[in-house]
Amino acid sequence: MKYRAFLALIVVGALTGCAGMKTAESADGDKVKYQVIATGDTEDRLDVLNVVSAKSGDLTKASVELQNDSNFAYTFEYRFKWYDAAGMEINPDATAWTPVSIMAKETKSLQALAPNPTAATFKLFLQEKP
Amino acid sequence: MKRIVVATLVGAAIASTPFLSGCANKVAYGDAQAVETVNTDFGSTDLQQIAAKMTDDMLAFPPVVQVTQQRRPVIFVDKIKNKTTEHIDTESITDTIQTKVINSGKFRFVDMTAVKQVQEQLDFQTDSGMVNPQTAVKIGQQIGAEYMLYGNMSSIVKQSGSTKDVYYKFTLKLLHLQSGIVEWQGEKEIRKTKTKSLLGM
Repeated sequence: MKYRAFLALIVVGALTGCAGMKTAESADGDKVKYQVIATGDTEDRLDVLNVVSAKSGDLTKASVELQNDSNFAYTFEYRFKWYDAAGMEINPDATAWTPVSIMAKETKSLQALAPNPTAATFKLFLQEKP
Repeated sequence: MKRIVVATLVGAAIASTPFLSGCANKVAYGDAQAVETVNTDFGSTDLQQIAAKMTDDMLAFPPVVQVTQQRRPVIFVDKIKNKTTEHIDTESITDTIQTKVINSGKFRFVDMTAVKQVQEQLDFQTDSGMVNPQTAVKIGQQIGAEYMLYGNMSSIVKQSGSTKDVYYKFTLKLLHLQSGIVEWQGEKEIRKTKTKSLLGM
């Protein structure tokens, strides 16, 4: 009984490692796994409308469309991080936080190109202006 | 009377020591990727934004994608003209762009700022008599650049009362040396505004 419970825990642990990753599909059928991590105010104020990926040669391009849910202009910061097939971050510390302003109810597309052809997944981090 | 004055002064000096040491400067490491808003002058965040957008735009441009599909063309970086009224190290911007482009594996670069040092090293290897001729680098074998990367940085500054608005525009061009055609051109605009508020509201 204890052994089965222990096994169940391991399976759940392994599954949660992939939890939160969604898939963006490109027009060619290429699939890119991604995750949008919103902290603070950005979680409530911003809605992820659409995530699309495309290929520029062998470089993956990602586009995340966000909408400002509130009736007020909002300034936040975002950063894309890219990972290879093994889950290792490509060029850590090479991408900086970018400030962006979005008007009330406006939609904005945040786009980024993978740093090199080995990129397989990406994470978009959103944070409120400190 | 004199003793009282001296004693008061000494007492005040001793009593204020903890407050004075509280005014000491504190140094700490910060995040080099964090957004910097110290003032409206050109800053690290502007440099990072420009480099990221220019690199992404250039590498994703369809004719550039086509050219870099089978081979890695050679580029040299010329000057970025600073047309603003500030001192901006534009070479720092192109250095970051060059790093990102090289890391993408799509282009190769020749460094025109190192020509003199390379010449000195080649002269040393061939003429000094100190280097084994079999291991010396052969002169006249360098690869010629096919493209030139150059551009402009301009700004528009407007001030009215306590409000200051600075608009930067960075333009980067990729020129094919043989044909003289500008194969790609990219632009990044940045606006920074400084306002003074009453009582920090």
